[in-house]
This record gives sequence, C-alpha cells and structure tokens, in this order.
Amino acid sequence: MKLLKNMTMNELDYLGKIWGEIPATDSTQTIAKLKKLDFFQKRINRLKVVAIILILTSLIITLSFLSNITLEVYIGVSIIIASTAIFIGYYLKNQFYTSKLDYGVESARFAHEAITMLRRQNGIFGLPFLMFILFMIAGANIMFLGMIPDSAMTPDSESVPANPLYFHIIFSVLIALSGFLGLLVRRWRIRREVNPLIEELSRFDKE
Amino acid sequence: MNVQQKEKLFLEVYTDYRLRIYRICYGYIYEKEQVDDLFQEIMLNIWNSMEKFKGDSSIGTWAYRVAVNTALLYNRKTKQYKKVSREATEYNTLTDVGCPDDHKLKETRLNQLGLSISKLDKQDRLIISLILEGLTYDQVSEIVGIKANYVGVKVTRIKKQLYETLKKYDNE
Repeated sequence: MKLLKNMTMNELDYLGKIWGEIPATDSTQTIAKLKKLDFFQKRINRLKVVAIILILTSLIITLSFLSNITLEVYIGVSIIIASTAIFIGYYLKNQFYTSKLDYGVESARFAHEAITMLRRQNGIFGLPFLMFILFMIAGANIMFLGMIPDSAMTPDSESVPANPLYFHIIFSVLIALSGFLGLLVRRWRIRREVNPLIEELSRFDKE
Repeated sequence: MNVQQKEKLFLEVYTDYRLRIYRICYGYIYEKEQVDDLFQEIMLNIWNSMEKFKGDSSIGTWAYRVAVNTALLYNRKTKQYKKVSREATEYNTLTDVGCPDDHKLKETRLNQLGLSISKLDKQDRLIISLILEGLTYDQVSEIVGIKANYVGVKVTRIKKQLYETLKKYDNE
C-alpha cells in the first residue's frame, strides 16, 4: 500500500483526508451515562459525609459509656484521634485529584498546575507523615500508661516479667514499623506512577 | 449555569466536536477499547468542567483543550502504553488480505498513518492530530499554550518524522 505516492513532504492535506476517514464510536448512550454518573457521584459524596458522622458519633458514645477510664487514656486517645483527623485532613487537602484541575486551560498551564499538585502530594509523605507517626507513638504510649494495670507494673509472679516498658517498646516499634512500611509502599508508588507522569508533563510545562 | 444550560452547551459540543475529539483519541492511543475509554473520559471531563467555561475562548478551543489535557493524564496509573500492540495485530492482519477491497484499503491506509503517528512523542501526537484536523498554528498555540512559531517548528519536525516512517511502510 503506497501511502506516500500522493504525499509530498511539504503537505499534509492528503494525510488530513485519510485522517478524516477514522470511524466514529457508537456513542449514542454517552449523555445518558454522564447524567447517571453525575447523579451517583453526588450520592456517593453524601454517603461519605453520613458515614464519617456516624463513625465519630458512635466513637464518642462508646467512650462515654466506658467506666474506669483514667485521664492518661483520655489524653492518649485524644492525641491519636486528633493526629489522625489532622493528618487525614491534610492528606485529603493535598491529595492529587484530577477533579481539582481546570481542564479548560492551555495545556502548558494545565501541565504546570498538575505538576505542582503532584509534587504537593509527594510532600505528604515527608515531614507531615513523620510527625503523624510520632504523635501516634506518643498517643499510644500515654494511653498505655493508663491502661496497664498496677499488677503488671509490680510483678508478683515469677513467670510474668511484667515490665511495662516492654508494652511501650513493643507498641512503639509496631507503630513505627507500620509507618515505615506505609512509607515504603508510597515511595514505590511515587517512583512507579507519579515521577514518570511528572517527567512527561514537564515536557509541556517547559515549552 | 443551570442544568438546562449545561445540557444545551454539552449537546452543542457533543454534536459539533464528537468526531474530531474521537479522532484525537485515535491519534493518541491505538487500541480500540482504549480509544473509546479515553473518549468517554474526555466527554466526562467536558461535562464536569462545563460550569468553568467562561467564554474567554471559543467553545471549540475549550473543548479541544479539555481533550488534550485529559489525554495528558490518561492512563497515569498504568505502565507505559505498549506501542507495538496495534502493529502486531491490525496492521499485519490487514496486509495479509490478498485482494483488498475499498474498505480494506482505507483501513490499511489508516493503520499506516496511525502507526506512523504512534512512533511520535505524546506531545507530538497531539499536535499532529490537531493539525490533521485542519487547525491553524495559531489555533494549536491557543490550545497547547506554546508560541505559534514554535508550533510551526514542531510540525516541520513531525512531518519529517512521519515522512520517514511512511517511507519505510511503502518500501515493505
């Protein structure tokens, strides 16, 4: 098939004609699909808000019914809940959502904005994540101070080496390890998904 | 913008630019399923961005921008697109046909063009698709956000690359 026989290097008209022959998709249902999707998106957002309110309410009710809760437990739990809430809030604010982008702007500007957002997202797993893990460890340790019974503090049996320090060390290490694993997974995803995209978008941004 | 206005504007874009946008998807990606998928994503973004359209540019320019920008972020979660897939299937199948009729000829020509475009960089694919749609350098510049004379430089380079690739297919 000699495609070039009708084309010189200086004109694209012939290719333009071929280009016009590209068959269209059968997209008669597109508008109906879009309306449906729009409706579901709004519904899902409402459901998310209701779910968060329900979880928080049930947590507060459960805590208020528990007896013999020491001040340390309250402080520890408060630190854990507050740091989680703050981190989730920060995460959601800086998370890369394509819906936050304005698709109607010039591609160079679009690429620049997307890169900025992607870099901001990468930043979540730097100092903010480290602070979150440290606060989780602190909260858990304060909570355990109020939870570990006195009997465990002073061993009366030879078989139980009940040094509370063990609890603190074990849980601190567990939280730190979970954080480290989470960080590793995120870094891997950044290398695999985010950085190549930034690199690709940079070509548009620079020009 | 109320729902009726949104629907009216969307229908306008859909009627006037559906085929052009579909061809841009075709120039950017080569597998039928992926082309359809990207097309749907563009339409979804047009629908969702409708309220942001302020009329600073023509609705056509705006629609093309949404199409190009959606393509830029398309498939961001998957590995690099496999360029060879279409080369290995459609093109070979079609050239095996002993006595191609007019329809087959058109398909073969389209495949050759598509394959040649597939050898280009992503940005170049989008630019040449817009040029093949008949847009001027100024219009492409308005969509992509690079200077018109630089669009010209790029198009010259792309044409050269296309010519070289097409020449290889002709010699096969």
